[in-house]
Formats: sequence, structure tokens, C-alpha cells
Amino acid sequence: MKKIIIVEDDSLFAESLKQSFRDKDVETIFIDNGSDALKQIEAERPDALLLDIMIVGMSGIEIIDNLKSTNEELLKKTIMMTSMEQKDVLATVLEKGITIYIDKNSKTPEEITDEILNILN
Amino acid sequence: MVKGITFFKSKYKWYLPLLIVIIICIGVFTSINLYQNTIEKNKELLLERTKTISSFVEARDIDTLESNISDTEKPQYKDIKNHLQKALSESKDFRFLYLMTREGNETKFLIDSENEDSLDYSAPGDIYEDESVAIDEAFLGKASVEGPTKDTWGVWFSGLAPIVNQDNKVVAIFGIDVASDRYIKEALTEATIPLIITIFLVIILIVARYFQIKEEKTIEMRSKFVAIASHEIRSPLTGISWAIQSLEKENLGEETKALIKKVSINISNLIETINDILGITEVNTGDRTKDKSINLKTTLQEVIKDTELMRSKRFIDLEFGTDIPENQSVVADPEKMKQVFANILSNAIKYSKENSKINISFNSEKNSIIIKDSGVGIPKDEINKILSGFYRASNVKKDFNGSGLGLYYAKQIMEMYGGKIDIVSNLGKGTEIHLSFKK
Repeated sequence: MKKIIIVEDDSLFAESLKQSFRDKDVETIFIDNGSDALKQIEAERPDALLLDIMIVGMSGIEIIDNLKSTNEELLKKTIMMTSMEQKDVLATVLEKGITIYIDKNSKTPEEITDEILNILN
Repeated sequence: MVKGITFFKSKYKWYLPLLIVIIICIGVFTSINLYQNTIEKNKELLLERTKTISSFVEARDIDTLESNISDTEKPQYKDIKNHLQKALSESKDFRFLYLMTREGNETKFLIDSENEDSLDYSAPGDIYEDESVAIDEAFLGKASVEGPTKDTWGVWFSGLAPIVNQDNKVVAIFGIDVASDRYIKEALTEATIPLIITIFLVIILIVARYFQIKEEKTIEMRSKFVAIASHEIRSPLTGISWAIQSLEKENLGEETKALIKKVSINISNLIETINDILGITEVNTGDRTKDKSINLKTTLQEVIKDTELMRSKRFIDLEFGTDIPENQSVVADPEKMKQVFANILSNAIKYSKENSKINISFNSEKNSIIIKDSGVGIPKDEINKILSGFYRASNVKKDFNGSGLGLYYAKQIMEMYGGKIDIVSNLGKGTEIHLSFKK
């Protein structure tokens, strides 16, 4: 079974995502802070990554920087969750190799789940 | 005051110091020029006066003088001296008028305009010991002005002219001394004017730039505040929205489901209203830093693409006119313009009947894009109220999604960029929104 790691520190979002992944054929690991995220990514070797742009303890950018040097393959299978106000951060993120991003405010948790599943296939 | 003046904007901030340096250079240059011109002008006038006055001194009268003390009794001496003193009293600038002669290599006074009891009096025969180029030239037959030069009596501008006899031999020279600070003071006064103007201009430029910077900082602060407020408001709302959507999928009782459905609709409306208000607040910050040249046709097409899902759900067709120009552009924030198109289109889709058509065309005479739907229309007397914000027409059911702010936002944006919105509508038949852009 494929494995994905979801890094999201807002519990409301995390819960909603959990719900939408519930009946899907994929193993999900939820992490709510930056430093744990890096450790887990290292340990679990996920097939895809869903990453919020702003996380307590570490910004999404720092995680990406880290991934760039340790696991560049995973970057191609990473979806960045953004919000409209983070446009300048988004530009930086795109420069670093993220190709897929979704605006949290305009998509439903279902749609985000679908995107991740698309990537896994 | 400096709001619109492009030159002071930070984008061009290197031009200002450059301009200031140029202004200072021009000012100093003009100042120096004016100083020198004033001195030159005065020297020329002095030369003319010297020549004129010297022409009244007769060479044969000079011949009677012997450059010793006995000269003072001679009528020619007294006559010429009177002349000199009269000329002196008639001028406010002259300090000394004098006649000198040369014997061997000694320059001696013949007559001067001072009274005998004056400390500065030079008796006939007194030797003039200071060096003077103009005096030497005068003895060679050439009239000239020199100065400022220093001699035993002070610092002077001196006009010197030769006095020649019939054989064109120089028998004496005539001189006028003007205190140097008379001319210098006048020159300095003239020269100060361009300097004052320069300083004044530089101060104005600096002050204007200061106000511009202040204004830019204010706008930046407002923008930052709106961005933070937006984020703080949208995040929890989105979280709630997601949670509600998750709940909707749960297996719950009929009544619970109905309640959750109502909450969901309210959340959607709230989000839309907040988005509209935040959008308008952002417009009101006055931030124009995101403005750039955008192509109308491609921007419109991008937004149309985003509405595909919404249209297909209601089986609404979109006719994109062929008369929309390829190269028409406008200077605006692309995100705001997209929002304008999105608001108009989403209204058109929302209020259209199922299976109907939306038509987009272009009027080149008015430079406007026209979005036409065949929906419920807007009552004529309510069109103005809708454009003024927070208002939905009375013929529209209350549980339609959305606030009435979409058109109000569009109006703000169009007007911000020098254009306007017009609405033509027929109840039950449809509405035409005309977005006219600045030409």
C-alpha cells in the first residue's frame, strides 16, 4: 500500500483531511510540526508528501531545502498547500522545485485528496 | 499632494539625487557667472568713465606742471583739481581721482582729488611706489581697468587712461580708484540669488520625496495589515468549511443532515462575503505596486477557464466573441482584474437559467467588454443601488449564494483604473454588463 506523509499543524484542517482519506487505499501519517516532519520523512520514506506552506517550528521552505539535498525525488511528488496571502513565499517555493501547489481556501479536502491520489498513480 | 507625481516614487529614486546634483551644479555655475559678469560690467563702466573724464584734461595744462610743491599755486592745478573733486562728489563709487606722471622709472603724483589736510593726500611729486600693470600700460598709451589690486591706500578697482599731447606722446595718466568692496558687494548680492533659488529647489525636492516616502510607508503598512487580517480570517473559515464538508459525508440523521446543509450554505456565503470585503479593503489601501501591463483577452480567457466547472453543472454555454482584440492591454493588477471578470461571470452564471448561453463581445468604439446573460435580469430602479454595494436585487431568491458585493468591487476596480461599468438589463430577459476600459 502506498504511503503519504501529511504535514499540517492546524488541527481543524488535519481532521478534515483525515476524514477524506479514511476510505482510501493509502496509508497516511499526520505530522504537526517541522522537525518531526523531517525525521519521519527520513524514516518512513513516503511515496508522496502533502505539505502546508507555514508550519510551527519550521517553514515549509526549510523542509523543501532539506528535501532538495536529501531526497529530490520526493519533491516531484510533493503538493504544497498555500493560502492566497503567501504569494511571495510561493514564488520562492516554486523556484526550489515544487511543481504542484493548491490554494487551501478554494479547494475542498476531497479535491486535495484526489490530487494526491493522482500523483501516486 | 505628491500622490500622483511619478518622479518622486521610489521606483525612480536614483533620479532625484542626480537631479539635485545637476541643479546644484547649474546653480553654482550660474552664481559664479553672475558674479563675474557683474564685476566685468562694472569694470567696463569704470573704463568708460575714466576715458570720458580724462578727455577733459588738456595736455597743455599738464605741461605747465613741474611735479613739485609749487604746482599747488598754479591756476591750472587748481582748475584740474576742482574738476577732479567735482567728478568725485558726483559719483558714489569713486574714492580717488588722480593724475600721475613718470620721470625715469619713478611714477609721481601730479594732482589728486584729496584735500591737503587729508591723511590720504598725495602732494605733487610724491612717488607712487606700488606696482601696477594698468599704470604701466597707461604710460604706454593704453587705457585699462585693473582690480582688485592692493596698494598703500587699500584695495581698489582702478581705471587708468593716458593723456596724450598733439604728438601722441603720453604726458600723464589719469586714474580713478573705486573701493573694491563696492563692486564685490554688488557682485555677491547678484550671485546669491541663483544660490538661494537652488537651495530652495533642492529643499522642495527633498521635502516632496520625504512625503512620498511617508505615503508609500503608510500604504505598505495598510497592505500588510490587510494581508495579515485576510489570513487570520480566511484560515479558520476555511478550516470550518472543510470540517463541515467532512461532516456532510457522515451517516447522520435526516434532521442533522439538513442542519449541517444550512450551516454549509451559511459558511459559503460568509466566505464569499469576507472575500469580497477583503478585496475591497485591499483596493482601498491604495497600493498600486502590483500594477502592470496585462492583455485583456488572455486574462479574460484564464478566468473563463476557471468557470468551466460551474457552467457545466448548470449546462450553460459560453460564446466568446471573435471581435475581441488580440493586443488590447491595460495597466492594472492582474489579480484584481481577474477578480472583476470572475465576479461578473459568476453572477452571470448564477442568475442564468439552466441550458442558457452567456455571450462575451467587444465594443471597440467604447473600448469595452460586454458580458451578456439571459438570466433573471435586474429591475431598472435597482441597478444603481446594486452598484453602490452590499445589495442584492429584490427579484433574486434569498438562498442564492453570495453577497451583493461582486459588482461593487468590480466598479471600484474599473474606476481605479480609469474605466467604468454600465448595466443594461431587462427583467426576465437578461443582463448586459459593459466593462469600459481607459483608452
